[in-house]
Amino acid sequence: MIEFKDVSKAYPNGVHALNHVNLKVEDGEFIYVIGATGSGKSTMIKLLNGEEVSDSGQLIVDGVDVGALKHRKVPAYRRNVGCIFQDYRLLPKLTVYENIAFALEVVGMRKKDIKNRVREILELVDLKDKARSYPDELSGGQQQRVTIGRAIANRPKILIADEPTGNLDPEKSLEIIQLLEKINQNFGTTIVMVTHDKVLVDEFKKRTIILDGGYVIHDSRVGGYRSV
Amino acid sequence: MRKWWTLLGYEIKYAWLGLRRHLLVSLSAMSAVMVTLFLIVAFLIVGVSVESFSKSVEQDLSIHVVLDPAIQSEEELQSIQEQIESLSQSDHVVFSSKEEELQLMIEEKGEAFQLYEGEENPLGNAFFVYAKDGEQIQELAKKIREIPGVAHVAYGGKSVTGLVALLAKVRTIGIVAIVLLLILSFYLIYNTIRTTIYSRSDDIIIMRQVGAENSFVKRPFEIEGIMISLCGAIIPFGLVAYGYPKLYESLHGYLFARILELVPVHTIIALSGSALIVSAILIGWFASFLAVNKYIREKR
Repeated sequence: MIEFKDVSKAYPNGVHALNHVNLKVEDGEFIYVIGATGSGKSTMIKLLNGEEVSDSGQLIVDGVDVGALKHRKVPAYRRNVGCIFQDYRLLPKLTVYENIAFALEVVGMRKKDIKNRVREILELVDLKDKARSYPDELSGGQQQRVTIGRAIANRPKILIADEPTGNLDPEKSLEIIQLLEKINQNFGTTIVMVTHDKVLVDEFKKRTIILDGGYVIHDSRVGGYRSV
Repeated sequence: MRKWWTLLGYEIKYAWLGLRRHLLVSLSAMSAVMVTLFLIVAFLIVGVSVESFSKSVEQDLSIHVVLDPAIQSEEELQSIQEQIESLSQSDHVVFSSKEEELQLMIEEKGEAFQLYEGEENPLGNAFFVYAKDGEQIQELAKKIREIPGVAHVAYGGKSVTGLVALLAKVRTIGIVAIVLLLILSFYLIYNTIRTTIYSRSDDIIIMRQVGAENSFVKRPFEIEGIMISLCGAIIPFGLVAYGYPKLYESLHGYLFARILELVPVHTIIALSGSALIVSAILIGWFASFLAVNKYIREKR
């Protein structure tokens, strides 16, 4: 479960990115977070993956007080919270296989187990024939699928997606959202997805949170843009 | 324990991958390491040689103390020897009988002196006195001259003490140069490795993002730093291992004079080999340790 308890965050330049946010996301939920540029969406993601710390309030993820984590404890926390980014953030000098395997190597998994797990994941994200390719040899949609594969490699309970379709055409966006739905349904992974994509939000209706000026101004269980 | 080994295996793999897939940067770092380590080992050889020169010069510095030919009795000789030995600057004293003195003279000045062999020997008995420290020889000679029964005192004179002082100066300069070069090479290697790590600072952030603990991010870079500087140490070592025996051979083991004996080949090779390995490992590791720590702390 994810719980924002009166969380506020301001940056040194004076921008109040989040103001008194209270939010609860249950296990296995799939939610959208939408809002204009500068509404605080990215800050919410950064707090969730431990990159930033809130100024006040508390963020509890699966029982962990994220803001209280020491610098060296953050990576271990992230193994339980997979992250997907708009700009993919793959390691450019590693192949698709190696990029996914990396997430498993850091936890000290044995080579043989890694091989099996990566094969499973490549099948899931439909990239079996690209295992030996480098990121710059792939299309945007394919790179994003690698990122998703890497994010779920350690079977995290929570998946955070920061505009995962932001750089993709509608067709590829559809593939990505279908893949995320599959992960959500098959493995019960909680998914928090920040997006700009109105079409997706309307078509694949889910609980939708709207941020504006750092405030949560709407929390609709019905979903879709029209509901708000 | 098993997990630790598994992780170390991956860390070595990533160090190797980093080295291979950033070959150009790695090569430039290696050449920087190579040049500075070569300078260090060159100065080390100069320093060790000078040390050995001054030792052999000092050992060879003796004062020839010739006694009055009238002094012949055991007791008198004994008493003069004891007086010399009691001087604080003297290290040891070797007796040279007047027959031995004549032999030395014949060797030095020619067979005409064979005439004096036997009862005709006009020479006095003598001592060779060795000083504890080459620089004290002048003072020691002065004190010996004052002992009754001493007819004549001879040593290399000011030129010898000058040489000893010069060698001491060269030795000091060598030590200072080595220390400065060590600092310089550390700084150079640190900067080069920092540049290679800077070019991968995004990777460091991604690695932590994916769940890599700090040690897992750091260790490959540290191993890579050690690999780079060890590779950089190979060529200086090769140059020494190939060049020094050639130099030794062409100079027949001496520099200018027999007294300036070169340090044996195996000593130089063992010494420079171990100095290169130790300094490469320490400098490579510490430089990358500092550099990677700087970037790892940049983001949470």
